[in-house]
Amino acid sequence: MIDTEKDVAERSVLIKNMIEDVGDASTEIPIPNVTANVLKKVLEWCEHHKGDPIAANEDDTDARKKSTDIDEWDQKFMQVDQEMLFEIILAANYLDIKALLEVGCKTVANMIKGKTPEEIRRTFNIQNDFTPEEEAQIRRENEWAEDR
Amino acid sequence: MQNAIEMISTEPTNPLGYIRKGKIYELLLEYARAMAIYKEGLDLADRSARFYMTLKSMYLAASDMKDMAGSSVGTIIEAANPKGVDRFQKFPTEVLANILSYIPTHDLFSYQRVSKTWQQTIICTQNLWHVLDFTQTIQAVPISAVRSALRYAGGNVTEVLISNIVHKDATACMNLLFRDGDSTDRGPEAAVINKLRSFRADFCASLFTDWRHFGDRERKGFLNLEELRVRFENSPHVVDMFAMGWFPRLEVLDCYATYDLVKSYEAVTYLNAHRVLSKNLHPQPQLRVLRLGGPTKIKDSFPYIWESKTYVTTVKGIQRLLRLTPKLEEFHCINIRYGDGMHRLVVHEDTSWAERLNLRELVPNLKVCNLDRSDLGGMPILPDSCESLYLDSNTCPRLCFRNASGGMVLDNTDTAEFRMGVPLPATVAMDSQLRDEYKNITELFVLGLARSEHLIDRLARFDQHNLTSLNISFCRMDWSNVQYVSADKISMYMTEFSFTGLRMANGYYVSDLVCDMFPNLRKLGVAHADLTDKALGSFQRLKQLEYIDISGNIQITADGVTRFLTREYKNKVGKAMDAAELSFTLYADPEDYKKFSCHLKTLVVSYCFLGADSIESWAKLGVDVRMDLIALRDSDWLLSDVKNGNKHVLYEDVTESHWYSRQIREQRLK
Repeated sequence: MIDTEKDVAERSVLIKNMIEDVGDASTEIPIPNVTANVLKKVLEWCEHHKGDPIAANEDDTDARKKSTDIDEWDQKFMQVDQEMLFEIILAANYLDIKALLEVGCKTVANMIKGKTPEEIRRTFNIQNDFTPEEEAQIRRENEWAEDR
Repeated sequence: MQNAIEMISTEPTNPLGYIRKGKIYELLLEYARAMAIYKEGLDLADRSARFYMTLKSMYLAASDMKDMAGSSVGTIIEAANPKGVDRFQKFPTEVLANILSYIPTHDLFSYQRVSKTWQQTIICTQNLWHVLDFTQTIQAVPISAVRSALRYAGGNVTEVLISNIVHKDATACMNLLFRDGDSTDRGPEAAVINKLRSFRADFCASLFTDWRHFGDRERKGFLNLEELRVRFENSPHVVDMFAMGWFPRLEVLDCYATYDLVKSYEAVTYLNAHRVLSKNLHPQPQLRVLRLGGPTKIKDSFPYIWESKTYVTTVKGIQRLLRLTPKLEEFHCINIRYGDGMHRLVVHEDTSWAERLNLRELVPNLKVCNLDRSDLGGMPILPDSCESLYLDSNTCPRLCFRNASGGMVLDNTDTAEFRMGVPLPATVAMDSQLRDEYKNITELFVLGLARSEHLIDRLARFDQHNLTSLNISFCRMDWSNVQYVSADKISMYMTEFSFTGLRMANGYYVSDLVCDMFPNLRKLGVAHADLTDKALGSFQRLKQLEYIDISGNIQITADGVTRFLTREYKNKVGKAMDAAELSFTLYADPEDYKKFSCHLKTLVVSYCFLGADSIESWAKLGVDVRMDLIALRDSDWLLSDVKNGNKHVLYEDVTESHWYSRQIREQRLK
């Protein structure tokens, strides 16, 4: 069980909705899918960003999502081992904390950028489930993009 | 099962019902039936519904499973990973898709072979394909890739950026994007018509040359375009199309032509009367940015003679164009000269003061006016909103300036008229009118002036306190006596141009004078200016300077730059610090830099050959150092810094340096 302020916890849309449902901010809120140390980390982030304006509607699918700039504090915050990083992203997704999810995704995207498919598999332990023929086929089709 | 069927019957547009029903069949290993359900769902369900993408990926997955089961090749591959945990396994598809949305478009193609999950996510997430950025490719983009991307996007492509494509494919690509053409094999990509909002191409494509034969079908493709940047040399056709109202939503039109389709010595004309009739012109009040012209080019075939490429227009042509765009905010007119409307350059004898191009009337909201290497009949009349002005030695040769004795001279002292001593009928009133028109300029580019007195004369027309950004690259700033400004001139600037803070000494060096004339400068560009250490040192007077570009000044030494950066800081012996000492101090005590209190934020040192060690130590001072690739190559520390996300390389030169350096060489020979 973790004590925290209401406005810190309300960075999470899920918790915010729960508090609204319960109608009392002093009650305990069960969060079954997130382990305690991940939650602590997530709350640390929420604490630092509690003053930030919450991003308006998420319907900006057309907005260019090219910038992978991460502010300095977030960069330091994300310097954790891979397992923790992925747990944080999962928790942010589950708790519906959009800004934290974005930072996490950007961090992983930066880890991916510039790597070959083989290096990506090695980095994240991804099983290659293509048959050699299938893989050769895809490689042939996209040969122009393999050059980097 | 009942639940799923009920859901489909009550809400046929909700994908969830189909997913549940199909899933049950999948569990029963009846993949064909599952596929049929999913297919039905894909046809009936609402495309914008929440689980539509999931449905699509499940359909594809089921089809894979069916293939595998049908050919009885293999069972499902064991998911267990002997080496460790697959980090992405627990991830919902949306999160992986979110991560992939930060990956450049061309990498999405090769990443399809990471794993099946990745392949499905990449192919089935339409959001990943809304913006097609093919600018970072090394190999040419094949047309098949553009076609696939359009298909993956379901036709919802809003932006396309392409830089590298072979000519044959280029035309096909343009047809694919803009022509709702004759082809029968057009699938969902046909929907791209009407949705494209931004198109930027750095390749040659001749689509626009035969625009006169376009019908309504082609016209539809341009309807929603908001940004169009093309680099082909037939850009005048694009301008003609624009003027005739083919791009009703266009806000940015950039036709700066980098590529040669016509012979380099032929001229290009804009909006000429014989091509477009006035009655066909449509007002385009939505346009904000207009960029015309092209680079100066050297004829590169035998015989190798200097023959520059020019873009010709009549002043009337430009006036006709600008009259259509009353809300224009940025006007870039590069390397466009005054012509007779028939591809010929005209050297005019005289343009009267009253006939100047009146931008104040035509485009009252103009903020940026770029007339680099252009001549549109004298200095234009600028609106009060204009803050940024870009001139060069060839701009508007007939601007009147006064010499020290009070008489009027032609500004361009290299012209025949000047050498023959022909006086100009100009008055003091004109001079003050000009200063009144230009008083709001805060950012000024004056490039390529070999003689300092010309430079200072031009600068004197601008407001002493308003000007905060000045770029005088390719103007000579060294300390030879040619660069000495006489006391007569100084007193003229003080009395008649009301400059304050100038010293009434025997004279000024140019670099000192620039500092005293414009004490509020925050940004200064002095690239390729023959700058010496001493001249650089004089820029220390600019207390608010944040950005300085000293690229291409090969006389500058690392010691000089170090002294400039560390300013008044003295070492233990009471002397200014040199580069080696700074480098050693920072090495010995990395925290030591704090006492230098470096004021500068950005330092550009491309093509200066200053040594990697020194550049490294300046970067450690907290200055954002920009340099060319060669300088970067020699320092591991800087390279690792770049990998950490700091940008140290300046890819763009100030302007086409090659052209200017040649120009200056020629002026010196005279």
